[in-house]
Formats: sequence, structure tokens, C-alpha cells
Amino acid sequence: MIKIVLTRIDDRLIHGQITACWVKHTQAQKIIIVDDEVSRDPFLSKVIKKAAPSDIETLIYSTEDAIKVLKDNFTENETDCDKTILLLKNLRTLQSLIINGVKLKEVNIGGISAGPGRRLLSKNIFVSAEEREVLKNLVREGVYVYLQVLPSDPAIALSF
Amino acid sequence: MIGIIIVTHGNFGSELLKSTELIIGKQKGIMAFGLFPGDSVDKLKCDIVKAVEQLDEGDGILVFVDIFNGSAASTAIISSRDLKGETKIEYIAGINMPMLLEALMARESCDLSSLKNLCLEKGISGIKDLRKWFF
Repeated sequence: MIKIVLTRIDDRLIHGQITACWVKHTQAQKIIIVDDEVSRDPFLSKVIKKAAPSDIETLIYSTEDAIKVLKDNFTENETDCDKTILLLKNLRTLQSLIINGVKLKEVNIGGISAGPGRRLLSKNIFVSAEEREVLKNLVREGVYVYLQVLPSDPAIALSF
Repeated sequence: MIGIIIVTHGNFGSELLKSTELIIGKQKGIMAFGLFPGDSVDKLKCDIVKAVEQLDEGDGILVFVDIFNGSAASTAIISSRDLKGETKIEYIAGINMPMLLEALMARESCDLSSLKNLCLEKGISGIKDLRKWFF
């Protein structure tokens, strides 16, 4: 069983904020990254795994594999399983997981950089109209979606 | 909490602090001083002494300087003569980000001497041949 202690959308995946702050804050032992592009790229996968602290196991899955691994196989309650941070680059991947039965109750929006068609949502969060809809739907379905860059920042619940 | 003072040539220290805060958020109990062309080292010395008095909560002060054989380092050490006897203070030269990150994250959970040793260790082990590290 997997205990998800943090689900975070962060397009930098593993970086200083994760390794210095979130891993300590959540006491995580494992990081699961779900990203189709990264999972297909052995070079990127190697670099990303190496960026994690040496005592943290990092697993990288395609969306399809992640659904198999995560569906009905994780808990937010049990104490005797690995505390895991689930890291996704984008909301599209998150939507696929949820549509396919991965029951996430909370999602931290940590960092989505500016890009074509994306507009500012909060200080380091930029979303397209389509991504905004994904967020709206999540909130409507009762998922707690919150903005929080660092554990020391206040969590701001998204509402529409 | 152990207070931290950074003394460097120019803006290196204050900018390093800003960069580190991008990773771990805004910090309290830390001050950075820069030495610029034309600055008086006596003024810097007074600033350091004042900062020590201001930041010391009883757990001591860790001072970082940029380079061991520079005026930032000698001024920091010279300033120690003007401190009141009871202040615990340690100095490290060669500040880098791994060292400062460690100092800021560990300073509430260890004493001054252990923090100094931890920072020395992390500062040195934080320097890597990056290609060898990744592959």
C-alpha cells in the first residue's frame, strides 16, 4: 500500500523546494513521479532521480502505469506503509489519474510556469483556460485544491 | 535560535540569502553585510558588532564570510574583540548555498558547535563534479 502524504503539481518536479522543505515537512520516504514524457526518456529519468535526496526512493511512471499502481492501492490513513509524495508536472496528467479512478482528496498546486495561452492565477501559477476548467471540476467534485509553494507559506484553498 | 551573519565582498551575501529564501522561504534572525569599494572596514566592524548584539538570543552566532584571506574575514574576526564576553560565536569562511541552507534548516535543533561542524561538512560535500555525480 502507498500512503500519499502530498500530491503536488510542480513542473520542475524534484527541485530545491521539494528536497529541502517538502520531504522534511512530510517525512516522505518515497517520491512517485507521473509523467509520460519523463517516463519515456531514460536520460531525463536518471537526472531527475539523482536530484532526489539519496535516502528517498524515486519511481517514475507513465500515466497508464501509474493508474495501475495507484488505483485502489493507496491510502491516506494507514501508518505502516511508505509515506509518498506524488509529483506531477501538469494538470492534464492529474485529470487522467482522477478520471481513471485514482482517488485523490487533496492536491497542492506548487508551480506551473508561464507559457503560451496561460494566464496568472497566483504568484507562480499560470493556467490556460482548459487547465482552469480542470481545476474548477476538481473543486466541484470535492477535491481540496490549494496553492502553497513552501510548507511555511499559508495554504490557500482554490474556489471558483 | 542561533543567529546568522554573512559578511562578503559586495552583494554576494545578501543575494545568496535572497536566492536561498527562494528555496526555503523568508528567514528571520539573519543579516548580511557587504563591503564595497571605498567602504571603511571600521564601519563594517561596528555593523557586525551591532548585528551580533541584535541577533544573539543566547544560543550564539554563526558568522559566514566569503573568502578566508580577505578583508571580510579579517574584519569579522577583528570585531570579535569588541564583543561582550558572554557571546558564543563561530566563524566559517567559504560560504556556499548548501552550507547556508543547512545552517538555516538546522539552527533550531542543535548547538553552535555542532551547527558549525554540520555547515563545514555540508559546504564541502555540496561541491561536486556534476557530470560524475549524475552519471
